[in-house]
Amino acid sequence: MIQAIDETQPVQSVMTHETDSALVVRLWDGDVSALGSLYDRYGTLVYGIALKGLRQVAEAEDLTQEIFLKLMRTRSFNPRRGSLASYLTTLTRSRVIDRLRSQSTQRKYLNQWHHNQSDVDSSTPMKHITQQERRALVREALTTLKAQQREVLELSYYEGQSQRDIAEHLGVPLGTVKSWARRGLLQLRQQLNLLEEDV
Amino acid sequence: MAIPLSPQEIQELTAGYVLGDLTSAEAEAFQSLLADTPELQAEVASLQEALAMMPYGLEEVKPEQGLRSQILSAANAELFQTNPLPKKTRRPWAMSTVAAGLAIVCGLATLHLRGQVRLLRVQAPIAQQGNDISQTWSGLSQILEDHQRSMVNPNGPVDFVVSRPDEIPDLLSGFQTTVAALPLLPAKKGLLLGGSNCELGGAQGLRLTYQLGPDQTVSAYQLAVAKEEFPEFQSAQITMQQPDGTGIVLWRDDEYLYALVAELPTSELQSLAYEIEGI
Repeated sequence: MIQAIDETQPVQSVMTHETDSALVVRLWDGDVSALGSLYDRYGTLVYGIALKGLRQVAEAEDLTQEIFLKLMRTRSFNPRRGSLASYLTTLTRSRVIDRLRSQSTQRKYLNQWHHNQSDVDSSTPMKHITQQERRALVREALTTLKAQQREVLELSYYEGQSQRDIAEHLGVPLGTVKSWARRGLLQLRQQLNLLEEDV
Repeated sequence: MAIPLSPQEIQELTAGYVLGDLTSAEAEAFQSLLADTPELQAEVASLQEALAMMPYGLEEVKPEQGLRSQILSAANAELFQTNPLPKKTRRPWAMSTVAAGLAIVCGLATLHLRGQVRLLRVQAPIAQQGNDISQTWSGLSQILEDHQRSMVNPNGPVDFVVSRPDEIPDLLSGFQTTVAALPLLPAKKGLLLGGSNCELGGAQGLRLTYQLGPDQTVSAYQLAVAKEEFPEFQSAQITMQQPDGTGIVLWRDDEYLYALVAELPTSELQSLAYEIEGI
C-alpha cells in the first residue's frame, strides 16, 4: 500500500501542503489527524454530492461520514489509478445511488473506477488547478449546456435514474433523453477543454 | 459494421458508452469500434473525466461544523477499538475466561465468505477469537449468508411482521424465548419490521429485522447455542468487518448467542449492541 504513493505527483502548493496520497498513507498508519486534513479538503465536495442526491441533511451527513470512514477502512484508494478527489466523488456518487435504489451498484461503479482511471489522471492538466478554480470552470462550462441537457445529466449522474425513467418523468421519448444526455456530455467536455486552455 | 459511422455518430456513441446508455446493438457496435480504433480509448477517458467533473458544478454547501469532529471520533473508535463497554449496562457476561479482559472488544478482522470462512488477523491477538469461531462453528458464515439473503428477498426480509415485540414469541416455530431475552432495539434507534425463524449452525433461533434509516436495515439474531457448542469468548464481544462493508458483532449470555449484522462499521454496531443490552 505504502509503496503505491506516486512520487511524481506534483505538490499542489508550497511549504506545508502535504499531498493527498501522503495524507492517506498517514491515515492508514493510524493517524486520525490526517483524516481531518482530508476532510478539510474534500468534506464539502463529498457532502455536496450526498446532499444533491439524498436531499436530506441528516442523510447527507451520515453518508459523508461513511465515505471518510470507508477511505480509512477499505484501503481501496490507489493514487496510481486516479486522484483522491475522483475516488471520493465516484465512491460518494455510487453510495448515493445505492441508497436511493437500496441495492448494490457500488461494486459496479467502483470497478468501473478502477478499470477506467488507470493511467488517466496522471496526464490530466486539470489536476494542477485548485478546487475553487475547478468549481468555477465547471460551473461556467455547465451554463453552456441546454437546460434539458443539464437536467438529464444531473438526474442520471446524481440520482442514478435510468434514461427510461427520466424519459417517463419528463414525458419525452427515450431517444430524445439519450440525445440530450450524450450531447450534453460532449458539450461539457468541449467547454471544459476550452476553458482549461485559458487557465 | 456495414456502414461506417460518421465522426459525430462515433462521438455520440462514445458519450453513450460513458453514460452507460447504449442499447445492446450499440454496445456491440462500440466494442468492435473500440477494437479497431484503440485511440478511441483516449476519447472515452476524456469524456469520463468530463463527466466526473460534474460535482464541481454543484452549489457549494458547507456541512455543519460538528460533522468533522463526529467523523474523527468515529474514526478513532474504529481504529483503536478500545472503547470499553459501559459497565452499568453490561449484562453478566457468561464467560468463564473473560475476567480482566472483559472490556476488550475484538479487533477488526476481515472475513471472507468464499469457500471456507477465513479470518485475517488485523489486530492480534484478539482477532484470533473470530478465527477460532469460524473454524469451529459453521453458524457464523450462515448468519452472514442469512443476512445477505434476507436483504435481497423479493418478499421482504421478514417472515412475519409485528408491531409490538410481545407478539413475537407466539409467531416462532421450533424456538422458544421470552420477550426479555429478545434482541430488542429501543424504538427511537430502529423500527422493528418483523422477525423470521432461523436455523443456523445447527442452532434454532430467530432474526429480527430493524430499519434504521431509509435504506439501512440491521439483522439481530438470537440463537439457542449451548455454551459447550461454541468456543469460549475471550472478550465481551467479537466484532468483524467484511471487505464488502458488512459488519458483525457477536456476544452471548448463558442461554443465547446474539449477533448484529448490517452494512455498518463495527463501531456503530457495537453501540447498537449496547442499546440492546441496556434495555
